[in-house]
Amino acid sequence: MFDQSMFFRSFIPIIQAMPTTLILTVSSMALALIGGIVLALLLTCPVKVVRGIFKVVSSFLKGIPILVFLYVFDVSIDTVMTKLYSLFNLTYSNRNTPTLQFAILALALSYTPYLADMILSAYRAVPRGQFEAASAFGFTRPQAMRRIIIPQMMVIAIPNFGNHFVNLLKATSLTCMVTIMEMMGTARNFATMNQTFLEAYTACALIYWIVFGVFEQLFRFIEKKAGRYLQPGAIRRHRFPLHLTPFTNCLRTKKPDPVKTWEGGST
Amino acid sequence: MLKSLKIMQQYFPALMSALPATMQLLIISVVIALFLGLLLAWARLSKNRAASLISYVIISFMRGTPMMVQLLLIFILIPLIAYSNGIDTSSLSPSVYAIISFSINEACFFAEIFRSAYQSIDSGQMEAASSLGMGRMQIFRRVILPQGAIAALPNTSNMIIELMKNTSIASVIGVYDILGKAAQLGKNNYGRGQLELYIEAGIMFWILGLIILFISNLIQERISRCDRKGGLAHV
Repeated sequence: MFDQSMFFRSFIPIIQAMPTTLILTVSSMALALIGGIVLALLLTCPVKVVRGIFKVVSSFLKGIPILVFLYVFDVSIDTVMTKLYSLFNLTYSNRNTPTLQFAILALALSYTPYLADMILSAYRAVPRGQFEAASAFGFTRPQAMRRIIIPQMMVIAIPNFGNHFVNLLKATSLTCMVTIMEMMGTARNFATMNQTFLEAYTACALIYWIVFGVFEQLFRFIEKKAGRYLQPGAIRRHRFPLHLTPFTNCLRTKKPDPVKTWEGGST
Repeated sequence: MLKSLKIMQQYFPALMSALPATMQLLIISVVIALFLGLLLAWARLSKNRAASLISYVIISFMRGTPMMVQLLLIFILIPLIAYSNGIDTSSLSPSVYAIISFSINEACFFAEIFRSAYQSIDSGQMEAASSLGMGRMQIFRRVILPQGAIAALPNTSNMIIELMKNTSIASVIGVYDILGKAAQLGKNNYGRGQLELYIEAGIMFWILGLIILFISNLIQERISRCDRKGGLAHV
């Protein structure tokens, strides 16, 4: 039932396809982060109508399965590319379609609202006193954001970001439905070619598990490193710019709870 | 634009006819997953090292691998096991495998949620209950469950919405849920109207999610009424 040699042989093509998976993950995460920042800004826009519209948009984007996004983007490649090329008076040949780029866009779009939520919750988790103290010290608002608020937001957001990153890593397996040869697609291909489904899928699952574990540990490490100034007594141990001391003082005793959201969890 | 709307309207009854399949996948998986999740959380929290370790490995595997791999693995593995035991599975519908896969996957996420909910309960509550002479089942039913449910419900409903979205993956193994139906219909007319079909399916998923969110908010309000000021917990 279980052919061991085929099991070990199927590792090779799947590992060779790992770069595609990582490219998909990292680039769509980067795009989603940019989109998330824009969406977060729009969601806190002072104009009420804009806020309302983008609340609905965010809920809509959250409510749609990733597979639907992938299919929609895959179906509309030809139309969009033909229009795009005709803008520059070029003729589009559908011999080499940009499926990978469109899949990245689809994944990025489906993770944008989650990242916007992440940014907003991190912003709200920064203690109010920090803003007040910054303005008491004569910081302008952009200065306060750049020097005081955003560094703290980044530390707060790391656990959530790691969570979304590993979930996106798993979600990239869905792109094999739109003919992208990442790890899952390669495993399916290899399995069909050799008629060894069980072995290939088991190998694929194991590799995903390992990659997942590596990234999870990596983010745990980053979280520990980035959050070290939040430990009690950190200010004495680490050099800090003198003008920042009052702000870090109130952080000394308080360690933020590791926020864990289960949104976007199980793909 | 008008043409697209017309196509959407034309296909709407067909997509609605696939709604029961999605709901069936979702509801059965969630019910099984609730029981399995409790079991896994119990094993994870138990003092028995082996049970805890096994539960940990299962949860870690299910969280660390994509749902699609799990689904395909179960879709291959179960017929093979059944065949080697002399059982014929060729008449089983693919939605059975989808339900098995989704419920195991969901159970692991539920188990983590339940575990953190259990750990959020003050241990003094358990001590007080046992000093009142309650049995273990009584403590679970009267002390742990009501308080744990309040803590666990937001995350649980989130996960249920996620699962509802992820039931669309079942279309990969040939279940005709909403997305599977949309993909099937899209192949008619040489692929014309595919885009509209997929968008319509997406909108249906969105509305389903909103309904689940609404229901969970109602339940949340209902079960946390004793947690409010002046409620039972403060008497």
